[in-house]
Amino acid sequence: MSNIRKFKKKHNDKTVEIVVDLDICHSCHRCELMCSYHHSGSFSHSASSIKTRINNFTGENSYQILDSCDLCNGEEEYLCAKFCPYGALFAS
Amino acid sequence: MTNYQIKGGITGKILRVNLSDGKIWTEDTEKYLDRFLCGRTLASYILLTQMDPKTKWSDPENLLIFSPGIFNGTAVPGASRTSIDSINVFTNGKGSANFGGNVGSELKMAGYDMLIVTGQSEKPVYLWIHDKVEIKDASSVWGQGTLDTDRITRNEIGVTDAEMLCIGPAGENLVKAACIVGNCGKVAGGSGLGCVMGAKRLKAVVVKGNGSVNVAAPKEIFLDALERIMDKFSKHAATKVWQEGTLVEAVELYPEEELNWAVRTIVRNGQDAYWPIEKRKNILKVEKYRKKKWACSSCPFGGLTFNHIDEGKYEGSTGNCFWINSLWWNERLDIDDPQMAMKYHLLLNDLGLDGDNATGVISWLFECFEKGMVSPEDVDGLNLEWGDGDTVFDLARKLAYREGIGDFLADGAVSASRKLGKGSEKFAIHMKGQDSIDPYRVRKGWALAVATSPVGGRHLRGGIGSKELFGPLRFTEAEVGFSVKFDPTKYEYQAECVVWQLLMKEIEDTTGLCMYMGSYDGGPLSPKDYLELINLVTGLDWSMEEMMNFARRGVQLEKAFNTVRTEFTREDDLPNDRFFDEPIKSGPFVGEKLDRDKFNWMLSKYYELLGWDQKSGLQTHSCLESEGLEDIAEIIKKTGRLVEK
Repeated sequence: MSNIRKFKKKHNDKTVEIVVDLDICHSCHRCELMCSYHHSGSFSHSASSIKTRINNFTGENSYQILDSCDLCNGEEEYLCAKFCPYGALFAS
Repeated sequence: MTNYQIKGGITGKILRVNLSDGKIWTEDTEKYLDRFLCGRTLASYILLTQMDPKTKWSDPENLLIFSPGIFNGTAVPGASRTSIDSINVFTNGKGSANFGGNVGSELKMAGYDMLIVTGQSEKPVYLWIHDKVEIKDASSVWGQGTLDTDRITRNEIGVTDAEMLCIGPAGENLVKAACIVGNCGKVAGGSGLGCVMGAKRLKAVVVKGNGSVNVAAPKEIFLDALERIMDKFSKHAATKVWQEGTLVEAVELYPEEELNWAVRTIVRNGQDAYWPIEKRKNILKVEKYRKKKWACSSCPFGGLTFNHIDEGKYEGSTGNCFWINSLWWNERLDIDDPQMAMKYHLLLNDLGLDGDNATGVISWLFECFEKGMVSPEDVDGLNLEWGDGDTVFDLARKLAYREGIGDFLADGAVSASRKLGKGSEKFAIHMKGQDSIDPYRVRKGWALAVATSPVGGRHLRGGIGSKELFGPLRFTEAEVGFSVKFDPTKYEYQAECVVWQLLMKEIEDTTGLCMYMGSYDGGPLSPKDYLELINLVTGLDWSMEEMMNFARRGVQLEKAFNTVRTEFTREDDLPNDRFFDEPIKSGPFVGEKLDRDKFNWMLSKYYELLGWDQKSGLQTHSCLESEGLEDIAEIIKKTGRLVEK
């Protein structure tokens, strides 16, 4: 079964599909941290549009991108995808 | 002495909790920034200066310190480690264990650079740190394994995305091999710190951070640095292998003749040091039970595995683990069945037993049985045959619950061998009183590091190995500041490399950076990268010399803690006689053993490099003065163990 999650995100006149492969994702939280750095200039869970969690009992991981995602408005690249060490995250 | 102006990487507050009276308060981190940052170095200083040297590990006054580093919470690759420091239950000297996962980063985001716990609760409790700090009743989880403790506690507080660490039955029952388990499988092992939590009746620490962590550098500069650093990982040969497998597979990349596995091995309680390749290959089939890979916070390698045994007699066993240590445990017990190996790891994690310490004392008992010093009646009717995993599991359970023979083993092999006698003391393999499972005969620098480790027989204070994987040889002279010729099987140049590795670990434990990112097992980051990241995160403008001097200060603090609390001398830095007297029986290094004179020559060089007295192995006044630690010299002087040179 495919373990791919797709998130269609809109900001201003831009629409982007963000694709996450949860089989490859290690839940290192790096995307989450880089997202908060974009939004607030510091690292936190609370300022991040991304929430990623692992379940220590089932081996499953979850991934959410909240509506506060502004498609890295003002950045040169999508920081979540750029700094994912595993290549689990793509934006198109 | 300097006064560090830190602009990032710290939150500014240290959380303190007294479990005796329930008092909870904070203090400013700033007061310690005259000579220290956060992390292990500061923990060592606080233990040394804020606790009576006569305090024992089980006393309420003992401090238990949880220290993330200055990188935790940021997106610096591998910034996940937390140091836990207290009194070592085996040695009465420095206790220190280090683990990854997410707890340290979460503590920073909750607003704390450090958590210091003192006192002793009347009833079992856990700490719940979020927007406020609460001491909660732990009666529902006292007696539970670490997996159920995690599950029940999360349900109780109703916050599924909190991070937590806890102890299992071993810690509750004050078994000295007890560890602390984070993320259901990231283990802070050694020094018996699970036992310290047990004595305080502190079952768990649960954290949910709603704050943030800043870095000093401007955003564009920090992003540029992160990009360059990440590029190093992308180009690194082992990254992909490790991401898809474990460190074991990454090490398997290197050829046998590069002295990787052959020199790491120790078999049947150290009677031999060679395990046939086919046994190792067989145990690596454990891969089939690995169902998912996890990573600690910000880690680009991902060393944590989720496992489920879905066949055979152990079907249904589940849990997380970081796998490489299993090899040593199973070699030592001669278990080459992959299912047993996985079961053993998961069982130890759930019982809250450190695999190194538990395997040390269990393998000692196996050797006693082999030599006829104990009979089946002495060991609860068990038949101790090397390689019999089921018997090992029975012993692990008995150990954790102090049942029958488990109670006899609960204080470690040194204590058990004194009770048993019959010459069994000779193969109670330990350093400074703590069970040690490390190999000593082939890699001379490794032996030196383990033997001199201030935390007693562990390899994470200077352990160096083969050319490709450990230590300074992977870097250029400009990157490490010195040039050495190095062969791990020879005595020459080992002391220099061990001291370098020791200093690197001090920096790693102050920053919270995982050693696998750089100095250890082949990670791509160099000391120059460490330095750049420290300066960017904190706003300091350190030179390489200043960074290394900082690390030296930390090394002196751990040594000083042992000096004022124990009677350790040079003799306590020598490995067990077995490794000098009994040669390796098989394999490519057959006949190899340690040479006493050459080891002592190497040890003297090590002392010289750290400024310690060659005869006694103790610190000199001048070495502490030169590190800006006059106040520490005064503390040692009161014990009469400062060498006035």
